[in-house]
Amino acid sequence: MSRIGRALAHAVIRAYPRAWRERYETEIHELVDETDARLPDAVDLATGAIQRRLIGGAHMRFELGYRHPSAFAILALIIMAPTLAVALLSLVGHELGVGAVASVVDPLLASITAPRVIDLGLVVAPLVAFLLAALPLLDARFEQGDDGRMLALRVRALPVNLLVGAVAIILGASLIGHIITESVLQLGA
Amino acid sequence: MSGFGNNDPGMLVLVSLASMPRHGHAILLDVEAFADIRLGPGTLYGAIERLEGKGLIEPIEMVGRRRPYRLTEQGRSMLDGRLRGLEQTVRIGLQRVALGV
Repeated sequence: MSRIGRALAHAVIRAYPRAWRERYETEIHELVDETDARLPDAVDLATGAIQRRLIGGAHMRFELGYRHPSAFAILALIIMAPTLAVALLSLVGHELGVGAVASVVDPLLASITAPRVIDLGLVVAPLVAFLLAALPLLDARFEQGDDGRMLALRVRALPVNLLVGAVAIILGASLIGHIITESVLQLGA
Repeated sequence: MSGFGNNDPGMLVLVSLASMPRHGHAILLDVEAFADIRLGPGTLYGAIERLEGKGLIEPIEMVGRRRPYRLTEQGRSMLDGRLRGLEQTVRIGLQRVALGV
């Protein structure tokens, strides 16, 4: 039982924030071995890890995205590119009255979006793109302030991610607006 | 000084380090011996981190994979004040219990 407890305790230490581990990891692994840690010790360590994560000032952020924000912005752009292309062509064809474009786009769009899953994918893509572009910008953490515990939220000002995120929001909002308008018009007809 | 009751892990660690520098395991054994309290490793290192952050204890050179800690002057002064406060409370409390007041 103590072998399981010790193995668990060693595993739980890896759940502590990186900065904490850089400072204390070696000595606490040694302590776990010396004390022949048991299951309650693993639970005690897990409680400590949760406290460090939630109330000890540890950063809560999407680490992979935080380290590679541009890659996430490009991925977001790729994901919403088909929706963006369709929206732009429809805009040129219908709103700007370029008939030649409309006559090419409408049949093409009808055939592409015939399977519901592709139709749904085109609508959902801006939301996914927005999340991919915006997540690397967020860095939240709990801090002990004079007025108690505070949730401090910082947003990184990365132009590429902000631009892609804004395009995703505008695109998504336009699509939803378009779908609602179409539905209302169909109901009224 | 708030947050240091007589069973507070931070207080126990300070008392343990008052006589000599000790590493984590030695602190656990000492606390268990004088207070009959077994601190978990997470609780112990939570206390060590807080005390170190307040400048009440400091690490000294590692011995193998163990890192001993010692009381700073600030820590010793704080502990002294806190223990004297407790001593007074205990003395008055015992007198009142004895008198049945």
